[in-house]
Amino acid sequence: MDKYVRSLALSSRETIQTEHAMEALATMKGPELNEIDGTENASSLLDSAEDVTANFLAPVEDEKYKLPQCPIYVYKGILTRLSGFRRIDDCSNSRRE
Amino acid sequence: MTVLILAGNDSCVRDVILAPSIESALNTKDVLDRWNEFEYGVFGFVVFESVTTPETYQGELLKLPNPNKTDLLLIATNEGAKPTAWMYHQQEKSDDQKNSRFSTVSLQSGRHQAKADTFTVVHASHVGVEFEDQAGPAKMVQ
Repeated sequence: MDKYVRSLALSSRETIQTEHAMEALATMKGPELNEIDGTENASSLLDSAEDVTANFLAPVEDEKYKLPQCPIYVYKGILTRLSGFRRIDDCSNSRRE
Repeated sequence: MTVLILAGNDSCVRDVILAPSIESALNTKDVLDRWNEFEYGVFGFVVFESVTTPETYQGELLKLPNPNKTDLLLIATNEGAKPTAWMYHQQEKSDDQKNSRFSTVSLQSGRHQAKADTFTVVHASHVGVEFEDQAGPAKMVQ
């Protein structure tokens, strides 16, 4: 019986502590933002602003995960040849040189 | 503007026609006859430029024969750089005003890689030309 009462008391205490913590979080005040006086201050703040996007977004290493795949299939051989093609103007210029 | 017009079937590019312009390729009877013979549809074209605004080529894309108004492919490649590709989506509004948009896509070539599959790369002026030592039309096949 003692054990039951003790466990009941413990769980009640945990519940109360959790409620206090939640209440503290809800009413907690964060640091005040600096007031911006005029455009000069605003631009200097912007200049010193740091882009932290990369800290929150996972890096995308493979391009195929970044872009949707083309629904039209192109042979690898065609793509290889594309890299070897040049504009006709370029070819004639290089011949002249 | 030198272009490579892409045509084929089954969502796979099988024909690459090199031409000084889209008009010149489409005015070549042999090219049109070839696409008719093989029942090829036009999928888009390649330009040898560094393209940042694909909208510049919307007018050229609209010149392509595209009776079913399917999505067209625009590929830009310059000096051996990795090609950049866009899909051009064409939708027709009820008031006949055309609303178009481009979306960047990554090229894929993972399908139809069987050795029996071939593709043809040929200049528009050489389509249909036959040589004495060759039975069929001139073509460079990989």
